[in-house]
Amino acid sequence: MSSEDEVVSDCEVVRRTVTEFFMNPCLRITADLSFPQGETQKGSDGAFVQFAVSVDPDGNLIDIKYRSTSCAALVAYAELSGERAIGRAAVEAFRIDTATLTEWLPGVPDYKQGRARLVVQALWSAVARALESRVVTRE
Amino acid sequence: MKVAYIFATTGHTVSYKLARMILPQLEEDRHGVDVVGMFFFEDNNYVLLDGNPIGERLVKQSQEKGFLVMGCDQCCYEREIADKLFDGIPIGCFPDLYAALEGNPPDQVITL
Repeated sequence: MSSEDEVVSDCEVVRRTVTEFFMNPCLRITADLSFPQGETQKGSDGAFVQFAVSVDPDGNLIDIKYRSTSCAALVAYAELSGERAIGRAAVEAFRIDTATLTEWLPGVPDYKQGRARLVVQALWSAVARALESRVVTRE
Repeated sequence: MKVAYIFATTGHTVSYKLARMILPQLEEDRHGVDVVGMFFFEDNNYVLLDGNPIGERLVKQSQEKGFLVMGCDQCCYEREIADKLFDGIPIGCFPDLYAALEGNPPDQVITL
């Protein structure tokens, strides 16, 4: 998956910067996550993120949601990772790593890029959980 | 007395109140209080851009006197300067500010 790959997302807002992702979240919810959830990843400062993903019979990620604290970089990384993963084979989500995320989203200071690690771990955890349980969502 | 400054308004907040009043007094060791922190909102964050002459004086004072200088993270992301600030000057939100000041809390917070 490269930065040039087509992005498949329900979000109609074009988002490129931290602020654009933060101000226009498409995948973030405040309610409880209702489908297979990954582990909550927590930072030392109380920040957290948790993903839930839904996989179709063909093994594609058809829905991604997450809940998180309101840190701008955390939300931006979560939105970006979900935007890039949704609609693709679930296993491709494991190709989104910390280096990839930080490369895709420039402008975040080095010492804030630990937020990307939290997001990646949370996303991987949710995808792994969904693949393990092999929950199938039918239209 | 220990004081923290919050630069919340724009206008002459940085160019005048900081650069012409507070900084000279700090440089002359006659400000009259111990500054423990400064936090910058909105366009005031541009003073923290690496190379800004007022910012250079501010960073020098913060290093010499050991006080915190922090930019509002959302303000910096919005202006796309978050990764372009002076080395060692962090950005953060309220929890980061409170945590940073926890070990040396101010007696007064002055909002400018």
